[in-house]
Amino acid sequence: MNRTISLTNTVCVIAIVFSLLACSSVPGCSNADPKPSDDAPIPEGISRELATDDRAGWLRDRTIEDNRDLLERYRPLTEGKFRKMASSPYNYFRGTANIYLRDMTQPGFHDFPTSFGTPEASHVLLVGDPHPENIGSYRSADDKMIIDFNDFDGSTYGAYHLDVRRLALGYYVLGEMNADHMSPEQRAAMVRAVVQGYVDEIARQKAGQKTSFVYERGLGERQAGVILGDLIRRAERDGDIREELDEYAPLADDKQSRVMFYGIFEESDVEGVIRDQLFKPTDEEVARVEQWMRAYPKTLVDRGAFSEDAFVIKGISRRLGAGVSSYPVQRYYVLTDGESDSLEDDLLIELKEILDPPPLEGLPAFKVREFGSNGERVVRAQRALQHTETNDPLLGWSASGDASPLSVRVRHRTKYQKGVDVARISEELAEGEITPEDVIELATQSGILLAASHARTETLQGKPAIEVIDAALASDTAGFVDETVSFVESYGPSMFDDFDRFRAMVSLYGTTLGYRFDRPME
Amino acid sequence: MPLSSAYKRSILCCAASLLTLWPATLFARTSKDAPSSEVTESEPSGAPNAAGLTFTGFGQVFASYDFTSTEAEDFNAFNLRRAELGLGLRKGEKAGFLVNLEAVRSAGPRSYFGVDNNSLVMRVKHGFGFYAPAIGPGRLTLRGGMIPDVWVETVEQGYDIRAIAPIMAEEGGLYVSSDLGGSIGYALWDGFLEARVGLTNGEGRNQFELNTGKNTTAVVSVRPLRFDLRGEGATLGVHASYRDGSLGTSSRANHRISAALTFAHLRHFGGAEFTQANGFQGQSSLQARGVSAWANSALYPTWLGAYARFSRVQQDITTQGSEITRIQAGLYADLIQPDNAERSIFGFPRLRLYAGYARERFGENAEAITGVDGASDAHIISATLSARGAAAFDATPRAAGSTP
Repeated sequence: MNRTISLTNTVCVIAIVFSLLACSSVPGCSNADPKPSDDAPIPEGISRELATDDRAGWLRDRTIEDNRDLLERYRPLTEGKFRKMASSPYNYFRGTANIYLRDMTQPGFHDFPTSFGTPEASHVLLVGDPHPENIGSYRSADDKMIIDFNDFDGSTYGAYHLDVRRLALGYYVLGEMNADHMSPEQRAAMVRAVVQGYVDEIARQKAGQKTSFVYERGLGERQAGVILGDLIRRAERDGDIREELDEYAPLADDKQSRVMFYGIFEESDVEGVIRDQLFKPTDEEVARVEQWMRAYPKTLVDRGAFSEDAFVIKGISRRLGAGVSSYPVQRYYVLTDGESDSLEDDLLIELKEILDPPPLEGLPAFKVREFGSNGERVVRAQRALQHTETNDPLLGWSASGDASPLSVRVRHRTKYQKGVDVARISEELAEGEITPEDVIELATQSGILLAASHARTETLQGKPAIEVIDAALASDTAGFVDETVSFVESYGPSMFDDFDRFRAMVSLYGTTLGYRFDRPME
Repeated sequence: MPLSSAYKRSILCCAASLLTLWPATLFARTSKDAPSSEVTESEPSGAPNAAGLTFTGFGQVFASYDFTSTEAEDFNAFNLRRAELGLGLRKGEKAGFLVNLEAVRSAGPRSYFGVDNNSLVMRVKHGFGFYAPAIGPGRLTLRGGMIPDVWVETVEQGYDIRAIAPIMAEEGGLYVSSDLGGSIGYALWDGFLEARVGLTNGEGRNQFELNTGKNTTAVVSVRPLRFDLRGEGATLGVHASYRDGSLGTSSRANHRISAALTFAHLRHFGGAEFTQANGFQGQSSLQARGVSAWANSALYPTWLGAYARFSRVQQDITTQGSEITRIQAGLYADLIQPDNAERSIFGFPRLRLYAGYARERFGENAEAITGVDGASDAHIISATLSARGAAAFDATPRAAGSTP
């Protein structure tokens, strides 16, 4: 027997189709672009229009997308990261390298084409996120002090000018934050100094002359300039006394052993943000760290420089509070035996989980996944971009298993490695301990350092980067400086608007930015 | 307090769902009240059942060797552009379900967060139940689950070179080919006039729902010409679509207006499509526009055919030079005879070898590195093997002791 459906039902179905069609065409019925209610809280000084415009919505979605895995894995810490980003323009700048790169590579809000790019110069090994606070000191294996970039988490192959713009932008932010102590002319000169330092060093390197940032012990303080000289002085002072051991693995009461420090080492002045706190690891964490440590020694540049027992684990702590972008990730301090039974040569080693590099969507990169893990990517980039492969002889990486994507970068946690601190610069500028000219000097040095880093690498296609960058600059270095300065003058203020948008979205949607979690919080 | 648009939409969705289920409920009651020979449960004997259960297994593979030349470097690689495997169970033509798995790389191009490095893994592309009764002068089709996008599916009916490239709407990031939700369609007079509406999350198959709004996509198709061409049926279709969409946690506008013309025949296909995007790449204010045209024809069946395709997506219609243009052309040979009689969800069985050339040209503001002319441009020479097939067998439960 045939089944039939009444004409009434047919009409009903057709009515549904047309009612949905009709509804879609009514603006008020659309799902898109909802606006928060008028009484929703927005921080004072931020206009409602800015807080709710198209850019604000895009920024919110992209920030969530860039941090989705962190939100799902480390929700409270990622909320802390957002609080930290909302606490100062510089922290916001540090936490949004991916936003910057999206703006540089996607159509829409910003359009800053370069006249100094070539296809070949689009595949240079980048520092990834060069900025003032990613410059620091090292003590090399042959006991010299070195100034170099120290954070390569975002390192990947891309266009060299993206690094130059990012570095110059960092100085713009630094300048704006110290507007009370630096005139507009001095701030502009500082940004220009970064780019001028870069192009000048590229020219020197092309001519076979290289600027050195390697200093004999005791001489760096006088030879490295005011700010970097002071950095070296403090690094030598604190490194020589193994201050890191006293702080994070002090001697036990009987002086016969060291014990890991657990607790708050330094209080934060931002509510809901950890500054420096150490936790006792769980059994699961201990097992994971032990597995990482077993695989790590074979990734050292000079495995023979350390004995078998040097990496015998004596203690582990989980460190929270470091960094901005990487604030939520796993970071451990591991105390090992060192070369002898003496407590004086114990080693404090840091293991830090490494995330993906920025995607740089649309840029062909056929062989870009040449490494086995993010840890390996970052370490190999660091060795290639730094002055020597052994700036840190303990640099290495480890992955937690063949099928696991989790990997860590391993480094020596020593006070010989100190970073430039923007808050310290602000403080010293305010107190008159350093002058604006000293900061401009640091900007020039930063540009030189970046050029030197680029120049010592090969492109993804195996060509000397110095050749392709020099060709891309096409002898018009003044043009490149002007273009980059123009970019910073345009993008810099919009980044401060983004900072206001971000503060508004934290206020409107909370520290998860309104992200809808895939699973309930554990 | 006024209702927000999300609440309005939620109420509308509930109402639509109830109304959608109403005919089905009536239909079920009718079936129960008046059992017929089509109802398996009422057939205790092992006699053949005209409306029995049918299992369908199907698969499709696009395997290619691609030589790519860019300004910066040349590269060559074997690739697996598609590997799909599906299983369906249906009861007659009226109801059933389908699960279709596809292979994807487990990590993004620069990502190290993949499975066992960057292995190919299987994921659900489609997974939906369907119900398709004849109602009045036409046929109603209801689907629920991970369903094909109603627009992409409509255009693909007249698109025979999927092994060469997705349709422009998918290739340009203007649509995704499947999403979680439901759809309702009604085809009158054997498909002469067809209306379909999809209600989906809007985030695509690789993401769970992030906002309370749902995407509504409505498609209307008219097939005014149906005729015999050298002994095989040919159909000319005209299609139009509108999508009210939202994307991401902050519900960025993601609307689409689309139109297409398709021609489908066993050996000859052709068409053109257009999409205007109001809201693109998560930017509500960004307007994008794409156009495409394609044709393929078996010149000397089955040994020689030719295809050509053009697509152009302007990522920001207010910015000059923001377009990506692709031109593709080549030849193909069918290594087995096409057979229209076995047409399945993937079309007829196929073993086809393509050899072709593609040119990808990025406007200076569409380059990944804006201003760097040639950074993303590519010439690609490819050899592609396209294979697909389906098998169906009767799966009607039989009474104990009956003859197999």
